[in-house]
Amino acid sequence: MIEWAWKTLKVDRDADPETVRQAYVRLVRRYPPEHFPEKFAAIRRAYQQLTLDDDFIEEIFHRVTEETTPLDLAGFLWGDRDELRPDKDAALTDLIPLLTGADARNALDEALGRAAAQKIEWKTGDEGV
Amino acid sequence: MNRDANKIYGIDLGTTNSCISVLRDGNPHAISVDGNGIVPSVVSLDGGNLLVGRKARNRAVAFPEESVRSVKRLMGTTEKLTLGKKSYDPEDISAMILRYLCDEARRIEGCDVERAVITVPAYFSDAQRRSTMEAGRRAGLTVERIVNEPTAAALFYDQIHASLEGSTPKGGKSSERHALVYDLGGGTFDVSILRMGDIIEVLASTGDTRLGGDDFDSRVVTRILRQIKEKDDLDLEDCVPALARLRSVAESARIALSEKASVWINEAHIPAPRGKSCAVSMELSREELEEMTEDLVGRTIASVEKAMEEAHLTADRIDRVLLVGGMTRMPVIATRLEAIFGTARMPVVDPDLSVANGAAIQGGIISGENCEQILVDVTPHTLGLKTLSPDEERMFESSPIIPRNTQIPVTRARTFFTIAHHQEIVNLEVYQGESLDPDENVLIGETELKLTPAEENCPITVEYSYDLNGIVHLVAEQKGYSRKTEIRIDSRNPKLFASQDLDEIEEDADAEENAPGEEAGAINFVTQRARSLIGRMEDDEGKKLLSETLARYEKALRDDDSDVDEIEDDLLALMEDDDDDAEE
Repeated sequence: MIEWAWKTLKVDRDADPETVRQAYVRLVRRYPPEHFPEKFAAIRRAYQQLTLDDDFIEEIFHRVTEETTPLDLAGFLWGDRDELRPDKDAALTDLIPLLTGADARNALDEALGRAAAQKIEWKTGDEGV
Repeated sequence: MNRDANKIYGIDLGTTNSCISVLRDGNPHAISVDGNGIVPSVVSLDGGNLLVGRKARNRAVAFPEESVRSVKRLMGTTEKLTLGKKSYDPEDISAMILRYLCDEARRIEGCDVERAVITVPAYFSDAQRRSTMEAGRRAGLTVERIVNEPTAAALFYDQIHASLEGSTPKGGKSSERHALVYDLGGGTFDVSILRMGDIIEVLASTGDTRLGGDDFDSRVVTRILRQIKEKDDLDLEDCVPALARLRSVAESARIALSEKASVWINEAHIPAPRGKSCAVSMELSREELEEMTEDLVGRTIASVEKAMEEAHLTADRIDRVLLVGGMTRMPVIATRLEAIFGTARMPVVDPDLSVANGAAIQGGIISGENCEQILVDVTPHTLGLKTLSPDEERMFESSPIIPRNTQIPVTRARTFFTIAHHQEIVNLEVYQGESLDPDENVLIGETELKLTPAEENCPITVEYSYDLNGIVHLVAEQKGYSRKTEIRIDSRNPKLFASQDLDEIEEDADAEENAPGEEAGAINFVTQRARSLIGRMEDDEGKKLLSETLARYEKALRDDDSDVDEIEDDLLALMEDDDDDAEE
């Protein structure tokens, strides 16, 4: 997921938030929502992922169930869209480069902290359709 | 002069006043109707003669029963309005105003007005937006987009700001500012927060669709009525002709109090029941007006605070406050906002015309005429799915899938679970609104997903997409069984939503891809600048090279090639050289 975001925004793994923002603005100017709706949505999504925007964190919460561990979450972030990656150690290693920039770190720390506390807030399992 | 008949006009369809604007050489111009850019949103029937605008407003004072004003407040409702002997929908009345604006514009501009962008308060509901769209259709217009008023105002502001600073090339140093648009009109109030720089992004939008100048005037009317009751012991509360007169008097007094510290209200021959009449003479000070409307202003300030909270910004991070709508001329509004944001942050923009001008700019963005400004707007209301509630208090709840203030276009998915073993079906009901209780929200579409027999707690993924035109697309899938269902909900026309099996949809998608006219695509500021430059160039060889590079660039954009960066750099470098040559 994050790999994809780096690629979409064409930024380095260690890009700081300002660089990410500039890359985002530049690409949105090239692919305005009016004329490139799909490409724009992809750029927007990648930007939200790299900045760990509230909406994105919220979306993660909605996808995570009671049984999810922080490592599962990491796997989810790093794996494909819907897959939780079995190789948890590798997932943890992959987390390290993400922890650049104070905002990103705080947001992720909070997300992981809440994942560890695990119990109440994330359950979507008891919602019937 | 040869003017493009295919231009998209911008229309601000306001509660008290409306305005129509069009781009000329890239700059918006409000079209002067009856010698004024501002046209009262009033219609009146004089015998068989339909009047709209200034004449209708003047006539409405004497003949309130044969006139309609403030119809915008009824948009989205099924209320009927009588005008003479006939009864009309709010859409019909709005269509008359639109038609009048377009006819006048055609007379002045010398070409037909067929396509328009119409503005609505950002906080208008889906039903109110649809109703506005319908009014446009009834006026014979192709409504290209419904745009939020504060966003339109910000677009206009951004354009003047850019022209004041000179043509500094965009894409250079990032100097992003936060702007708050405070839009208090005749009948509606909106507040939006935007981030403005090389692109314009709406961060949050909120408001009150039933708060505006009309409410301020009502307070003044109440005050005059009290005076008449005390002096003459006459109760005029249900006397329509008297109220129409007093409303007009109150409005004039309220407007005058924006300039003066106090006014005299002198009105003789006010019609009273049983053929009587009465007179009133009283002084009203600005202070008194402010006192009797303090709660109304307070409500707007509360919305301002809510918008800042939703945008995660504090007052010190707002660089500009834009005042839009005639009501913002009331000095107390500026005073209250200054107390929060400071004086330096309030630039002067024309509060009456900026919305229509912004709508014309948006028209240019849609037609491709304007590619310098890029706007990212948000969803004004939450879209959710009706699910069983984990709370004991209620049976169902509306589970948000796309929260309000999400930037569009967007696609969001959420996973839910079945409750029964071998559950056969799930009902998917799409609700719009902020309440947890679906009954308090608006149902905008529904479909069902047939399931393959499975254990209970089987995951169902529901994905919503929301495009620039407010069309919602839903895809639901039973995980691991690949049973899928899709619906397209046109929130502009909910009765026409269709539920389809996936196979059919794929065929449709193929058909759409091959549809002619969809090819145009690949438009951005680089391609538009290049095209305009090619048009101006005289050197054939240079022209050919530039055209070829542009074609390569457009292909790379469409195919999403990885070497698009390189080609863009080539193209920009070429353009810079050619531009210099053209200037020499």
